[in-house]
Amino acid sequence: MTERTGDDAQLVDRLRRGDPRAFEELVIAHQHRVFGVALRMLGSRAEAEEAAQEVFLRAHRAIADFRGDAKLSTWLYAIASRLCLNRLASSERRLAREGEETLARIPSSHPSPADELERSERDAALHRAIAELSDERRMVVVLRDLDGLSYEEIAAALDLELGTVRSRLHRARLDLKEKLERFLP
Amino acid sequence: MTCHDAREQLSALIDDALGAEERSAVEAHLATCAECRRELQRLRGTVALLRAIEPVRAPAGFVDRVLGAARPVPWPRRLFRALLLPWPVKLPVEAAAIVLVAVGVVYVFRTTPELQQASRFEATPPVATAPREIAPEPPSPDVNQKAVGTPEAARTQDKDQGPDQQAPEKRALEKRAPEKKVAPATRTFTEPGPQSKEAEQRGAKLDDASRDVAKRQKDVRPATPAEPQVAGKLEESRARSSAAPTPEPRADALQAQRPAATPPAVISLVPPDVSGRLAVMDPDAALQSLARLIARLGGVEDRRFVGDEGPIIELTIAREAYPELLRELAGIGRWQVTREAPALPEKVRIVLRITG
Repeated sequence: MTERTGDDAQLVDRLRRGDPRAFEELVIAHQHRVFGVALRMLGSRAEAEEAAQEVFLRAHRAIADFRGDAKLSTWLYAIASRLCLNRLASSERRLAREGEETLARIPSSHPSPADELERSERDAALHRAIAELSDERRMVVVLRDLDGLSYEEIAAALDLELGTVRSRLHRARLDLKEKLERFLP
Repeated sequence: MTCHDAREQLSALIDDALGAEERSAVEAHLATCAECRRELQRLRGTVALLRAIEPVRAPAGFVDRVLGAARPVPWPRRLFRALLLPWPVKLPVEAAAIVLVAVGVVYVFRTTPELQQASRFEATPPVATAPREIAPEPPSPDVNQKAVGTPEAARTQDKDQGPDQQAPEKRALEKRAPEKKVAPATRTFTEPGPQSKEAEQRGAKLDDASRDVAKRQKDVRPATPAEPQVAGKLEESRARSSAAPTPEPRADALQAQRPAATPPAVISLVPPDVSGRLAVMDPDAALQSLARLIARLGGVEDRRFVGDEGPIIELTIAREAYPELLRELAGIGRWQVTREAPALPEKVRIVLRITG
């Protein structure tokens, strides 16, 4: 399914032995990915950091459950996606999201100068469009187009059939295409 | 392949996720359908926009915060955090702590007076200063029988008194007992005046303790009599003596003419209905006459003690027999009533002091 790197295997072994340096390496290596998914899914940086931290803590506790047949990153994505979707599914969160557009306000790392007005507009539209996707579709599109996971990895992380991943991703892209029509050729 | 079928595959085509057959079928359709080619182009554009999004970076210090959170917290700190922080939420715990402390203070306060009482007893000189104190009386070997016999009365009280209540004072009295070698062993009975309930209960405790004292006094030489007084718990004793009246041995003891160590361990919760003095020439003869009289009238001698002035008898007779008792008492000696209840009950309780 996915190739497992020698580094992963070594790191996992050290994690299982309780090597504290191993855990630090794990966090350093995967912090941006995990935080990125959390931010795209949850919208607020504070909440994303809290969720990402929880992802690593869960991984720390559950390293014994890690099956060596997948990449460590896929395993972390699995934990992160489950955690984010659960948070999003909580009724409290649903109420809080009424009319919320936090994702649209995720700042671009490039401040937009005046001559890049169109680009900033496009980015804003893009982020808003992503934010407006359903949670399930957003999760698939984030994993595929922002994080570059393969269909198989997504299927493994989200515990879905491959066909479900394919169709869900396609629906998500069609949604986005409709909203971004004016920025497309 | 229809346009609809082809468009369903476009995402997979972009991702290069189609099998060779599917891929050639879609490409064959696209070659003939400009609309679908345009659709593919826009979809590619959308994906390109998505993939152009700058990757997010975790905030600075994230790794350290994760490592800090993963480090096991020592349990006292964990407990502290769990109980006290954050303040607004856990405030009830502080309130509970205050209540606990308050309860503790009250508890200590309540238990301390007993300790103080115990020490006070130790400090008290053997000769009684309060009317309730144990009366030092010259003990006599004969009457030691009584000392052995009477504790059952005290034991009756033991049952009533919680051990926790009497324990401290009892210990105190036991400690004191050795100092009293020269003193007392007799329990004298005088008319119990109206006492507060508390005083009576304390008297009962004392009495119980005095039984222990009396046991130790068997071989002790008489000492100067001091003022005495212990109230009798008449109600109980009445019940007891009606169940098993034992006046004879006591009468014998008194016949021996020796006022003696009697630890009667009886406290009256209620004053007698009638009390008075019977002045006689010969107390022994008077006692014998009295015993016969009580028996004849169907009364019960509940208790007999030796006070500092002479024997004291506690008895119960039927109300109907009371007038005759008075008549007969006049024959025995000079009867002087010190107290008589306005309305006598069916069973009249009488305390009778015989004086010389």
